[in-house]
Amino acid sequence: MNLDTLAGKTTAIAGLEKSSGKTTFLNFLATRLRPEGPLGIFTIGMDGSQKAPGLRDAPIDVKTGDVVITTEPFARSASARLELLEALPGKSALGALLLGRVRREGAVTLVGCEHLGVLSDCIHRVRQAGWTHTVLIDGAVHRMTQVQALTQSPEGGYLMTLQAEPATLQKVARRVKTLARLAVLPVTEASKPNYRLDGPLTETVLSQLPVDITHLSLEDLTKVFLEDATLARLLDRCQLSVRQPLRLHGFVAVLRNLSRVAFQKAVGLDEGMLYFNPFEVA
Amino acid sequence: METVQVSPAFLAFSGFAALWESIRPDTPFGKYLKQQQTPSGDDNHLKARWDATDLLMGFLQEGQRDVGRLDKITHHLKRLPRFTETPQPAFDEIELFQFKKFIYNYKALLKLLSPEIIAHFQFTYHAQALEAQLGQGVQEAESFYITDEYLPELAACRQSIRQVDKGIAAYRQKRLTDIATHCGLVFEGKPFLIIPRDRLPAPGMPTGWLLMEPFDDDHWRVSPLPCQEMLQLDTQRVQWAHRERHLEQCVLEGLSHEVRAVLPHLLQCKEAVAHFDLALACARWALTHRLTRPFIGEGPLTVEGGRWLPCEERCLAHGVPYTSLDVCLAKDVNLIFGSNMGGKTVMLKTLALLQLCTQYGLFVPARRFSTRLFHAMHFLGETAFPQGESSGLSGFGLEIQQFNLAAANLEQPTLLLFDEFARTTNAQEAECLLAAIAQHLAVHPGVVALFSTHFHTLQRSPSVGYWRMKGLDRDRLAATLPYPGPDGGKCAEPLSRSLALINQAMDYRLVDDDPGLAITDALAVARLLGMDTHIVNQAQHILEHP
Repeated sequence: MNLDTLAGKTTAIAGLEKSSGKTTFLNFLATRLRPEGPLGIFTIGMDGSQKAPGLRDAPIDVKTGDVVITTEPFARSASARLELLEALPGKSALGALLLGRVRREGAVTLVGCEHLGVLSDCIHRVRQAGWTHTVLIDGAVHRMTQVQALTQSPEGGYLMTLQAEPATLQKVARRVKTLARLAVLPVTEASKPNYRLDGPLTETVLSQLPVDITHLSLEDLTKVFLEDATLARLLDRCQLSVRQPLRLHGFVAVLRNLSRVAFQKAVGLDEGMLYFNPFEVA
Repeated sequence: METVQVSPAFLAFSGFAALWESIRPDTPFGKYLKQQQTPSGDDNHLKARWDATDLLMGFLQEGQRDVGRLDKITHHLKRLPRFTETPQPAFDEIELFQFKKFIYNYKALLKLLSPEIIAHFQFTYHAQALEAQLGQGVQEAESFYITDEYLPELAACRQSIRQVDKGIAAYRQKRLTDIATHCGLVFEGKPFLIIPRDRLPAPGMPTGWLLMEPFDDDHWRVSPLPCQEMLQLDTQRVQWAHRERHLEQCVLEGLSHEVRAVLPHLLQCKEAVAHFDLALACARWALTHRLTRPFIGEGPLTVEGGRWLPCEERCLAHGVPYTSLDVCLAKDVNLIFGSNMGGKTVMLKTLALLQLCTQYGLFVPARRFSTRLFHAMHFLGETAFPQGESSGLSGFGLEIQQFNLAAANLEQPTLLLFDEFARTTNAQEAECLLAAIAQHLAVHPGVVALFSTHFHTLQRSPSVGYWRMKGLDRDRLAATLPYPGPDGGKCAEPLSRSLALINQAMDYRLVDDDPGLAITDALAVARLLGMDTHIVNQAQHILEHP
């Protein structure tokens, strides 16, 4: 995967599971893409209020010109200094939210917006105003639905970070294969006969659908909440399509006691969809 | 301002709520002001609202030649933020940002308005000193940053922080260079590396350069450790950062002092914006729907070209003509007869909408509407299924209950609309009841009442006006029907086509009633709507041979 192609785009980084290294990778990606122009760095993760004191997300390093969303108290206590560009609607448990541009580099704690629409508006605003060149979004564990905030952004897409070791390889591989299959679902064609499903596709919903469906149209891939095996069976018997496509750029894999060759063989993806631990040196 | 009582049934019947919803101010102040609006019985208050709408309609029409200017007005209105309205010992950065943003957009707005509008809405601006204070140093018009220029001590503090940061960066770079030289590890800005275990420890590597942690069976996770000098500088930085925050707080308190002094003026500005914004939204709405200014007087209630907008829009959507309402009600109590689907109810709805628009201070959908102000407005007719105590009542019982409530205070100016009142009881008694109510209301000078009804043979009174919707035009219908007329033959048209035929053949004009002219369009309408021909024919036979 060529990370340089993400410059100028909006990319969310979501984790396949907890501690998959998404924030670490975001920092790495930010350093890599910043030479192309200032970054918008946002989070759609849990805001700090949902974590115990002292366990909130670590501050991220920002450089002059970067644009972030945080709260007024976090802005005051950050080592970076921010110029207020917008006061955002709603109020986090951590204080009033603001969109700020870095005037002095340092570290700042990102805070997620209460409503995804606000984040989406912010992405639109920073792009429209030309404040940033690239937008990176720190995703959340099992919060894929939030990637939808990107749908209003041009060339929006996402990366998934994951960790694998021999004991988890098969499970991770199944999940990766499933997501990869979902990511390439075609866009629903209105002219074709479809069973149109509004809302999530869960095991219960699936059991209530007519058995003779041959083409199921979903809102987008984030509406799929099926076990991997169930989804695989469904994909075998029924054509799925999405009305709102989202672009999966690929997977960022951190491997422990596992070779890249073994992992690649297990997931069955070509190199274009994989990026291995950028901190690993030979 | 006098309070006006509008029954929920009247409001629902008029269709006003959806139209009111479509009036959308751009600012939070205009939106709030709109929420506070209630129907008014105060002539002067309403005239002031209409004057404002008049003024802004002219401005908008003139502005069609300069669309960019109108777009800029909308742009700045949309960017006017709420701000904290109560004085604070120290406003925080976001609060000060909102003041700055408000002032910027307010000033920009004023530059786009005519002197007449500025005078009418009492726009003033005396916040120049605060504006200058909020924009010190290098910062954008709509952003806020506590720049070094606010306080020399702050500038010095930040200079110290920059020097410390520079020192830390230099030591870090030296440490990274040493690590690269001794161990061959190049971090390239990365906070850590994952390296094969056999690469470390490197021969001769001093301890304390790297933090080494197991990553997996074959790798270390290594990150550079800070040197003693870096730790000392970091401690200094923490102290400078505390000092910086303290000085920033001093700046905030100084700016807050300025804000508190100007806050009453800013609240006046906000009020001016709120009234301008709401009036502009009303003016836009008036132009969109071709509305006119109503007239208040003691003369007869008069409508020329009155339109009930929901019906007009439906007609437009179906490509059928809409007949507007023309009427001058010389008497205060009036009965309207007419065919089924002949427009009686729409006539009442039109009046309800015109009156509500008037008393909400809006222009009205009519070429001319002359009316008086009412302190109560009631609708008596079919409403939603009754709740609570009323749930035990029949349709007729509910109507009587509605009447009792509406008639409780007829000493104040009251508008009463009756839509087919008492239609669910026997015709003879219903006619008597309707006649008695009409006569009762006619002796109350402040009451205007309109009844739509099919009870054409009720006892008439000289103090009551009698009207009819003109009804089916048989010749026009015969000319348009693709099959034998409504008094014979079979109708097999789909509903939409039937409705279109009825619309084409129905004359929706309101005319003086002729008591000797019976209204017998019901069977024809039933036939047009596809009722079984045998049943309709039998009904016709019974009618003609009682």
